[in-house]
Amino acid sequence: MIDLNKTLGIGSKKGRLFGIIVLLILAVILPLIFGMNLFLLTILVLMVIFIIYASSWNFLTYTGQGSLGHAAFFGLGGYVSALIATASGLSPFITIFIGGGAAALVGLFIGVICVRLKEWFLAMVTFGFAIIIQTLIVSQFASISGGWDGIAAPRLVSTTIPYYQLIEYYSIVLIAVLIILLFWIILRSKIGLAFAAIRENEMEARAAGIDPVRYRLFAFLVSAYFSGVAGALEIHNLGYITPEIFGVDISFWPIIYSISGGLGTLAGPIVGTIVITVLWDGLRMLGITYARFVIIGVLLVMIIIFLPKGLISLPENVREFIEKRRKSS
Amino acid sequence: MTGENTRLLEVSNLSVFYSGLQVLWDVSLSVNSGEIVTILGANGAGKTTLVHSIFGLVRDRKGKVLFRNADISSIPAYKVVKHGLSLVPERRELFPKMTVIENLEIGGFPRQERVVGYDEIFTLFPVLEERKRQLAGTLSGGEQQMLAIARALISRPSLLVLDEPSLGLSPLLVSTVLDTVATLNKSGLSILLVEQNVQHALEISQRGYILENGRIIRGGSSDDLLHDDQVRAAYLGI
Amino acid sequence: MAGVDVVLQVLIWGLYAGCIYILLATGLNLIFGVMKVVNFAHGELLMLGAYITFTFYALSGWNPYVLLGASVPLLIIVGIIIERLCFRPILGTGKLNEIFISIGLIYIVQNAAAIVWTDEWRIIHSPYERITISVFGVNMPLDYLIIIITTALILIGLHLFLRRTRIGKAMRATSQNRNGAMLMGINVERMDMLSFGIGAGFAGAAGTLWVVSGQVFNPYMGSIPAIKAFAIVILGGLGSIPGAIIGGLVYGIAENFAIFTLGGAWKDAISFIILILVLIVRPTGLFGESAE
Repeated sequence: MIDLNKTLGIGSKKGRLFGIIVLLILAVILPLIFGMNLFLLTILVLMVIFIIYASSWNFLTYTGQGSLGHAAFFGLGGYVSALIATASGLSPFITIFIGGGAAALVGLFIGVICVRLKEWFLAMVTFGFAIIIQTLIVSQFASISGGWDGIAAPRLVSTTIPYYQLIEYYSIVLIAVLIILLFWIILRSKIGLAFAAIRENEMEARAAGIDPVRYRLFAFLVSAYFSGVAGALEIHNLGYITPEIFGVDISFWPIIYSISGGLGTLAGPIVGTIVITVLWDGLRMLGITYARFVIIGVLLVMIIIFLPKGLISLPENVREFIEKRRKSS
Repeated sequence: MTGENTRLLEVSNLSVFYSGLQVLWDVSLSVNSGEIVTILGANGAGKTTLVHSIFGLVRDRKGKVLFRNADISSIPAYKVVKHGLSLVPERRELFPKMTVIENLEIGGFPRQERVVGYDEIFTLFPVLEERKRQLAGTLSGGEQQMLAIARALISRPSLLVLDEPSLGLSPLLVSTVLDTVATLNKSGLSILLVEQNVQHALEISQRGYILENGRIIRGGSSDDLLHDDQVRAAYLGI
Repeated sequence: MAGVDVVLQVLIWGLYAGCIYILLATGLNLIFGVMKVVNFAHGELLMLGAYITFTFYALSGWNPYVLLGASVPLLIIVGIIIERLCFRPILGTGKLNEIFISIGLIYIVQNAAAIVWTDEWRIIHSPYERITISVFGVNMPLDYLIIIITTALILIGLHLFLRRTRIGKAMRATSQNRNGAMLMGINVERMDMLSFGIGAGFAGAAGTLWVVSGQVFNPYMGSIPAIKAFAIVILGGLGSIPGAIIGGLVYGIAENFAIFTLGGAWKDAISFIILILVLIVRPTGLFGESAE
């Protein structure tokens, strides 16, 4: 049997519930305690957007896939949403989902090529698509995309509305909660079981009548869609978009967040994003610039080697370690 | 038999685990200098596991493996062979994109200098001389088996371990291979032979062990085993 | 338009660009062959090679080609350290892990380099910068010719090493059958170390050649050439060194024709278009032995 608890996260049911409630309360009150500190709010907004993005990236890994080029979807969602919102005057709250749709459409195309590929090939092709799309945006589509200069994007919440930053923040938190809830519903349904079966043993899954290609494609589609939504949220929050959004960094961050937290779990990308963001911005406040990349890199390498299930497995590992020590003494 | 009393290989209370699951239980056996000893057993009895753990290819194990009184139970495979054991593995494990000669050269790796001349090898296996510039992957099954044996002999081992050398060969070739084994033994080489071909294996060996479900259930002289009703019923279908 | 001349010109650029890719791709293939591991951080080794050349050049003022003698050995050491600390612990834990650990390495090496050398774009000038020679009626910088010859010599050296020496043969044996090699008394972990070291050394040589050809570099310049090298490896077949050489040449030439016809913006994207087209037709690469 496939243990669903493993898919959803590590720890007891009670502990998980407690964690979720604490996180939600923090998400709600943090901006209020600090008296609407704009700097803090900016960091929090980006963090929540990246929680959506990392969770969407991580959604792929449930089927044993990976991607080095999710910036393609993140950026496409952003561009399409910005262009439509500007051209039609529709609220970004609507266009972000259209942007996601565009990302999913391209995701479907990429997915059709990728679902048959394994590991390195998949990694290369996804990485390549991000570069190809960036190239298209700055060359063939330069007239509408603004080339390397980029274009302006309307704010998610109009700046004329009082407390617009705060409203933006809470809207994004709400969207994040809904998306993760949706992932949870998908993963605990039959689809989640099929994902796990494909990941653990493709041959057996096939024998059980599960078509791996269909499920992989579905995972790709969902992952691309919500990465697009996350990208759209980001650019509407920033107020502009440039082709830098397709950069390698944007492709790598969700990977780093997910691995640090714990791959293939719902809690992993959330915990990873929070911990790394806090570390990242903490280091920046200490005036460390390049070295923080080095520190993040070292952390990543160490987590992969010593904590392959990510930070969320840390409490369990510590408990085991203490128990072992106690037994031996 | 010369030197009947010198212990060459001594395996005592060997237990082996695969990801926590025990597959061998307290296996003890020995090979004396100059002997052919056969290990018999059905598919899945643990024969290859036993061989692999003697050679250090399986690391999760308990018990002792002594070779000429040197403890080899906790050293990696590449050091084990330097003690003078050679394995002809079940799937031959040749280097398919290297020529016959190159395969033999690699066989000489455990000793710094090549000990056995190619002439000696080619007298034993004339077919290899004809094929010496050919890639190992292009040889026939029988030729590959010859090459695997030749490669194992190049370092002039004191003990040759053969893991199912007759697997996948035609009955005629099986006889050729096992006859070669007997010839090698007559020239003084000690041999541990793992086989499913019970009749033939026991005919050329002095002693045998029977491995069943990861345990040695019987041991004795080949004659005794050959005439044992239980063995005959279980392994010879008589 | 003077057709033939232009074609020849582009061909020569492609040949030269191909040399750098070949060195990178061959190194990747050597590592893959022995360890079955893909080092996605290979481009960072190229970058280190470039900076080592740059630093020694600034310090000594010697002919930069001589500095191959610094970049190659130093990169071999770096390669061995990376293999020991990063790749050996995760060997056999899944291929995605290799990719992820490479990402960590990329961050570490790039930014450590930025700390040491700053992130400015750098360039040095070869003493032969202004010299061009005429080959088949086409003008060609002398540097390109030296680079092509140097690459050829390095490849011949590798060939001889793998075919003629004891260690080289042991490396080939390990790449063809790891268990079999162990049983022949070959210390396969040492072969891993060696293959990674040589692979990194090749990247170091590519770095020196990059610098002497007058191309600019900064700490982040390695990713794109490495990714192209990886595309070449996939095209030519994982683990196949002849495949890497042919793939590298074809690729270098295709890229320069693409720049010439589609425009410079397509320089990077064209590699992936080729790669993706190939993978659509053959998911295991052109000459690919299906990677288990």
